Amino acid sequence: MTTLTDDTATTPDAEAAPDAAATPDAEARSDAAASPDAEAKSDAEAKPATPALLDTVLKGPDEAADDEPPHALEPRAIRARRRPRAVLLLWAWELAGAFVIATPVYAWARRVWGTHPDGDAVLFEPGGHALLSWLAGGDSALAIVTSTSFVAFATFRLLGVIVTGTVVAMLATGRGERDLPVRASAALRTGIEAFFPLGGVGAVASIVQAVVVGIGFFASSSVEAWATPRFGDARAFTARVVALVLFLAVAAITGIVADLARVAVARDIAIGSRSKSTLRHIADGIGTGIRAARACLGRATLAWSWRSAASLALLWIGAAASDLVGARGGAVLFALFLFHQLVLLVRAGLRVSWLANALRLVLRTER
Amino acid sequence: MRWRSLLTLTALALVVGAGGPTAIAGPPATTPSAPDVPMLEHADEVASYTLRAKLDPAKHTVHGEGTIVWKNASKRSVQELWMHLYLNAFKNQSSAFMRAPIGGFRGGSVPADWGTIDLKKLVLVDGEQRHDLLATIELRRPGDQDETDARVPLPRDVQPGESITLEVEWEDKLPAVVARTGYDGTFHMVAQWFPKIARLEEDGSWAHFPFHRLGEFYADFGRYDVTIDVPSGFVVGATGQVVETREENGRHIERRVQADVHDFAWTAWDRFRVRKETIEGVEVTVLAPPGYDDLVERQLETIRFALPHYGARYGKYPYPVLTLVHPPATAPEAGGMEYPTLITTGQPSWLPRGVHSVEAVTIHEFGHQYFYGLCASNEDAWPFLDEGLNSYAEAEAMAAWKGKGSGLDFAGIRVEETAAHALRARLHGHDEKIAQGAGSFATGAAYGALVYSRTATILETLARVYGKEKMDRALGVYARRFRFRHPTPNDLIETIKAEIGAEAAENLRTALFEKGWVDYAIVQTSSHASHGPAGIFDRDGQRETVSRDKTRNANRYDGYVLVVRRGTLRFPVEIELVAVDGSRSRTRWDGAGETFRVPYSGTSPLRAAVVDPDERILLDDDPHNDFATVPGHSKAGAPRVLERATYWAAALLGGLTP
Repeated sequence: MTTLTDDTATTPDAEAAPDAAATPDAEARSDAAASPDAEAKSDAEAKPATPALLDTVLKGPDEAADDEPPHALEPRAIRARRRPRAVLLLWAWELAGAFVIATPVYAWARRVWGTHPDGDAVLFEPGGHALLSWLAGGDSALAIVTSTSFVAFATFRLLGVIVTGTVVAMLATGRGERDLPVRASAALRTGIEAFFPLGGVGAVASIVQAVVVGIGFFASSSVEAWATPRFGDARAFTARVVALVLFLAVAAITGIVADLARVAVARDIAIGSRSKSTLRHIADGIGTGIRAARACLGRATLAWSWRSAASLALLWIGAAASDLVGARGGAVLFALFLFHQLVLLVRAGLRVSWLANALRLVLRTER
Repeated sequence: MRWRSLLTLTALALVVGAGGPTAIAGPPATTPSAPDVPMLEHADEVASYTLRAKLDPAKHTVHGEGTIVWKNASKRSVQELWMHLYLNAFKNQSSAFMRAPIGGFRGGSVPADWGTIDLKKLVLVDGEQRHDLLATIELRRPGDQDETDARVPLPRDVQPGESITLEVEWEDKLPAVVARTGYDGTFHMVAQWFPKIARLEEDGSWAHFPFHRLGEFYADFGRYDVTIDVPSGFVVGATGQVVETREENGRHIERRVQADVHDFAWTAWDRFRVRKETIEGVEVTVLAPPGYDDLVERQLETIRFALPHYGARYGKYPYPVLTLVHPPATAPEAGGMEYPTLITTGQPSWLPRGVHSVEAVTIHEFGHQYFYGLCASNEDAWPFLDEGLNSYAEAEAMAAWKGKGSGLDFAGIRVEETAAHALRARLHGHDEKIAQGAGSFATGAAYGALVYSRTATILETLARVYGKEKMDRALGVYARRFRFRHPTPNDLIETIKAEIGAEAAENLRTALFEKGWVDYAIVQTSSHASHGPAGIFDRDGQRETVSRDKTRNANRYDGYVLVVRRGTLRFPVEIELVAVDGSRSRTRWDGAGETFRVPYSGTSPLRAAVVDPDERILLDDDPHNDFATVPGHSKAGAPRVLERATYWAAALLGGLTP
């Protein structure tokens, strides 16, 4: 098989070429191939195949793969279920971040209610007396807790870009004949290298989304103002919501395009395109994302939408479980914690599954 | 009027989410709370109005004319009348209403269009003689531009028991909707629209006052016979029963008559949708904009509960009609107001079912039929007598109906109205005294918190401490005994004293008039192995040294909890002691004195203590010092908050969608 070397650039064109030679090896081959023509060479002509085969013979397939650099996977090999460590990584990252974000409010609750014989159970009693007196009682700690948690949240969201890059690298590349997961260090290196390009894509997408939503608010309120004297405020409000939902849908589609761009950028870096500038990565990624969206927007939207619906449904189920548990503690609370983590784990799986889907769409479009 | 500010609390509560079993809705009260107390069937007719009003919806004007029959119901002769011309509150920025530097409550903005009431005719018909009173009317006081409180000198004294007849004609220019009156497009809410005679107290003094931003109204009962003339196609809602309607020359004319009331308001709009239903023998009409069917149904559900519930608590609703007006969303300031047999509600059409603000505002305004309408106390001098009692009655009714989620039962969060009241009561408890005139409050926020919430919280505390049945009966007696009788604060306190006791009455008086407050706190706890006295003892001529180890009882533990009572109110309270093995015991303190030491002795060490474990004293200034863990023992901590906060933080961190 053919492997990639770190510093050898694989252009998007080169990536797209192996459609005719639809094997992972052909798709990945590029160290010698500087042009699409070279990409079209058969497996038999690939020179590094011998050492890899030797490794396999001498060390067995897995051990041999340890020594090999990562190669790009073909679309059908890019599956979330083949990369459970990516799901675990995302879940663990979110859990770690959540603990940090939750710590200020936990510390505050512990200080105020920790000495109550029932602890914070009183906050969860129906009626809300303790809850209101705690949250809205004018305690200046609220501002400190809020701002601290916000800073922690923003920090983890920002650093989460690295995790996204890492996850995409794990999805998009593999080792050995069996496409085993790449080393964590290699994936993490991709994530770190992809930080600024991915951040750039995220910033562009956020700006576009903010503009779309801003226009949406303006347009929907204009619709409401126009409709109120004609149809009454209730129907005008419905019209406003419909108008706003349309713009939110556009913003969501922008997010889908942004995800397509993200995976394109991260994959590009993962398979070795490190000589590009950050701006080049951003521009290429956005271009790829837009091309992919134009080619298969319906499929992308469908793939994103059902996962979104499932994700929101899971959140709701988690909230309902909280409601069911109420003020109970001990083993019941621990069971709730486990259930919530299961919900979050499945949500992480949906996220990774969506990124894998986005990768496949990008690759298919590029061919 | 209803004060609403649950939104912030809701948002904050969402951070952690409260849980527990869903509250079960309860039926209305059916057993009268004070059946033995007689009620007046009718009010003394003191000020009766026969009026005709013609609306010009394009100019937003009302032309009015008619007669007023007024009786001197006091014990002294009078030489003048006082007449309220409250639409002039919106005439300019020199009115008492507009120049009050009050924010944070109702009517905070300058109206987009000014409003006026101009008297065109005021004639005293005295037998064959007719006296033009317009020539001598004194609209303003020296140095004051306010024209809402007019003095009308009379050509002769009016003796006690004597009636006089006035012919009046006037022109209203309605303001853009402000402070529950005015227009918004073709919607017109017409309140405080006619020259209205102030109330003459029994001692011959006039209870007259300019229209203040935080103030409301006070008047004598009478019979209102009002003919309303609007363009055809307009739907009218008004005080009283319709006795005649006709269409004439492109105009819709309807006549309304109602006795035993002290005000008259009406509304007209060409877009109202009408729904009617007879509930408990009362014809209930709901007027709402198109598209509000769900909210209309919710308001009717509320009245289906409220009519029998309030009837049992405070006496049967005596009128044959009740009209609910839901103003359009573009005129929110017209909402949340009470007039005899007519109330205005509000809230957006999309309001989720679990957010009970539409039920709360409906039940609150309906409750004003009792605490304002029937017990017509002076709203300007003692606003807590109507708004405070009514807020308590509202919270009591909502709790009886909706249980623990009476304020909010949404997304797993259940908040009682009393919790929101208690919170606001604490936040402003030391600002000003409750029992003062509306115009004396420095801020709208303090007015709202003290008059509405703190009064409601005081009464709720009395109910929880001394017994809800007693409180139900006390307010039931008050509402029945003072129906049509203009009660004062003293009437309320005396009723509480008679029905609940002197201690409760004194607490109420102190809380209302002296900014009374209370804070129970646990300031010390101790727990140790039980042992007898150690040391050096001279016994039987011999000196003996007893070590601590020898006196120790391995199976017993002693300790104590020291509770202090701060503040000027004194309530009996329970203290709960919690041992390490989970056992709990309670001790009652009568609240006398300033400190109370609760001894502990048990087979398990004392772990923690709580004062007022059942949250009876909602007035408690600081609920966060009501409990303590004995030093050296593990704290219960906040694992639930950590778990919930972690879950939601992870969810947010991951994004709501993939």
